Amino acid sequence: MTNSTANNQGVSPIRAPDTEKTRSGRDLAIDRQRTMLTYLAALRAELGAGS
Amino acid sequence: MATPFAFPWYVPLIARLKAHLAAEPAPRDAAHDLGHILRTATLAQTLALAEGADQEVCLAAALLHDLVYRPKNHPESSKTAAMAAELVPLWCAETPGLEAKAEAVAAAVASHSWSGGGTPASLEAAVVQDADRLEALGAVGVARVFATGASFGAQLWHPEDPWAEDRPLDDKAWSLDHFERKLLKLQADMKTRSGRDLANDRQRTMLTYLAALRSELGTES
Repeated sequence: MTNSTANNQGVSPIRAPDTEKTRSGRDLAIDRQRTMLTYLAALRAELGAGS
Repeated sequence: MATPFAFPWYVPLIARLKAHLAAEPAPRDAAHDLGHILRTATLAQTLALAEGADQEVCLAAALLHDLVYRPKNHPESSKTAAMAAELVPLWCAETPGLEAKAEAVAAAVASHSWSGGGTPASLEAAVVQDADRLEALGAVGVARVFATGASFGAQLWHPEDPWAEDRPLDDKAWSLDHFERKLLKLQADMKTRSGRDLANDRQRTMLTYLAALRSELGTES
């Protein structure tokens, strides 16, 4: 992953739950944000050990 | 315990490696760039410390393991480990401090590759193979598998049968297939105890990711 690709996670997708216009959209967005944050935490841990 | 990367040959070797990469006719894909090489080197040093292996051999071999690169759909892709190993003696001979390690470094480079089918014949070779395989696992592995697929035109996954329930696996066409075809098998083939421990963590990360993906694709497709 390039730095720019990794950094993009902090620009738009992370804010998604605040920007969804429907209740059901927000519910799904919250699930997906949790998935992304779990992924990013794992990536951070691996990069801490591996870079 | 040695400080990571404290060997006097490290800085000149990295400088030469960067020049080597910059001189290649085309940029490497994002999964096989300098970042991958440096992460593999750090992992190799971590494993070498834990296993009591020769740190210099492990570190140098990790830095030189992808000295030759071909895209994954290139006919020579499975031969790059052997091709890199042929260059290693000269690189070591021209790097003061590494001359005496050339043979061991070359052997570790030669056997590191999954597609090359090499079997490590030394503890140091096992460390380097495990370090490179760890790079294919976990959150890093997830990012790298899709980057690699994109580099040769593979799609993310089959639009109608992403989990290959009614079709043969084809990871040249669908990157998601690569988990089943290769990545999820790596954990069972780690050669060192510390490599297995790290692989277990990374396998869990991949399975968590795949479960989330399965859930999302179930909603949408």
